[in-house]
Amino acid sequence: MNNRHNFAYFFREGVQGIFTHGFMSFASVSVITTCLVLTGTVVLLMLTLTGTIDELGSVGDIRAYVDETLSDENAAALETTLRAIDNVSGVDFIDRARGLNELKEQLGENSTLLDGLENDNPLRNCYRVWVTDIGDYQDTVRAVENTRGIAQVYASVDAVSELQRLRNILGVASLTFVIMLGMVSIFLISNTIKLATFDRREEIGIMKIIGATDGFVRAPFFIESLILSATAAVIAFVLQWIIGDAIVESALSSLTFMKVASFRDYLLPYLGAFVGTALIIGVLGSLLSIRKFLRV
Amino acid sequence: MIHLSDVYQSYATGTRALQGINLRIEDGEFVFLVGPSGSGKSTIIKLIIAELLPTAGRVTVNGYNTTKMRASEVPYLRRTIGVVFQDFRLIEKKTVYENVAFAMRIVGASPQEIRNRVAYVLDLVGLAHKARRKPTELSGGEQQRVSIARALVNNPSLIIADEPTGNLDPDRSLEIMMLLEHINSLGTTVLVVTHEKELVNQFNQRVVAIDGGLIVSDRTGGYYQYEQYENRYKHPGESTPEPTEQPEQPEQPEQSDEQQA
Repeated sequence: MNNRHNFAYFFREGVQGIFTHGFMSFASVSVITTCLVLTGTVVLLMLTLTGTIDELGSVGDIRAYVDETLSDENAAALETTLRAIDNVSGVDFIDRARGLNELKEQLGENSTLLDGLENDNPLRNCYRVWVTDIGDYQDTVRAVENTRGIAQVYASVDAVSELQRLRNILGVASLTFVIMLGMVSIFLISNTIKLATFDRREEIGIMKIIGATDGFVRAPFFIESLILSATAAVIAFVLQWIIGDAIVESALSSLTFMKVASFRDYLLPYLGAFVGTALIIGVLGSLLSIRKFLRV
Repeated sequence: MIHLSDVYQSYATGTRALQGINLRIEDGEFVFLVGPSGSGKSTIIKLIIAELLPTAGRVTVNGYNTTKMRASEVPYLRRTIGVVFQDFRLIEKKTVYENVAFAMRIVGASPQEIRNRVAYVLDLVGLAHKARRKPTELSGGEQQRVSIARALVNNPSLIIADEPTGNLDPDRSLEIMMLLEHINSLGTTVLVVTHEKELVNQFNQRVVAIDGGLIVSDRTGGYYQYEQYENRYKHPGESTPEPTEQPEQPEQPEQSDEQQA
């Protein structure tokens, strides 16, 4: 077969097929677009929720009180040791004087109760320690406790492990939802394409009887699916952008404690995933649907 | 050339469509394949275009042994055959020109070749002036001529016409048959499947009669040979013929005056 002569024909037939089967083309693009946008929105929500949980995790920072027998200089020198611990993202040294000032601020009007303690400060030098991954929170607390020179450690281990559990549940739920949505998409798309190819079964039969190879029969369908899938991916991407900006950001940003995942931070991964998924689903769906009509 | 050798064909339902067929059609012949409904005519066509493989026996068409060739070779066998159907099987959304050109695109012909050849075959079947029409705008006879043009366009060595006049009135039927005879006179082998007695009897061509999956007559010169068989072997109430002896070996077909010229 001379493909040079046929490529223009395949392309023309593919484009013509889109318009000839207008409703089915519209249905295919709509189904692929809807599934991509739904999946994309779920992923964006998942990113928001896990981000928020991670943010909440930082509230449960670790407070490490320094042994009173250490001099202020030696206490300050512990910062390097603490920073070297795995999963530690930040360390802040609060010496006794700063600790007293912070306490006064917390007491507000009643801060006068602490007057006179500047010269006989009963507070200990202390460190605030932040973690990178709350998943390893307990191990990090243990490592801080075991640091020589640290006398006592306060950490909200229970609260953090609850958050961690919630994050895991959300992760599994989101993944399940995405998989289910993916399966529904494939089912809907393959049925839509099956209807389109069923409509053209006689034409395919004629092609086969007059000597067309399977490749020749498939080519226009392949190109048609390629164009429809790419169109769906681009439409889904634009819609996702609008939804990401308008709904997710504006609605959830009013809930100030939430760390909203911005679609703009994931533009390229989303574009790649949308185009890749749409092409795979569309083209595979088309080629598989046409298979049984080729047995002539 | 078509050669069916000891061909048996059974379907999954248990129907034995062919029961040991031996048939040889040489290049350049014009042959009518006649017989009642369910006699096995369509099965023979399906075997020739490799839509079916025989349960037993060998089918050789234009040098391809269908029982031994790979599935990927089937399209190349079919390109040596032009098929004309009773229901025309034209693509309604394409024009007459596109329906015919389409068959050439399948074999990868260049646009220039397509333009020249399509114009020639449409002229041959007398439809050059209707090239831009859609099939639905044509009469039955004209649609069948488009179908013949499509079958001819790749210059096949064999044309199979399956009940080509089934949907046409007697005048149009005769026209189509004369067109096929003309095509045959240009060197193409033509196999016409039909059960139209009057039409067959108007042509002095080889007639192969089939009934109950067996060839019951193979003579040159008309459908009446089959009627003789019917009178001899078929009695009222019997649905399947049981010939007491193998049908006679096919004789070499007599050439018509036109062919001899």
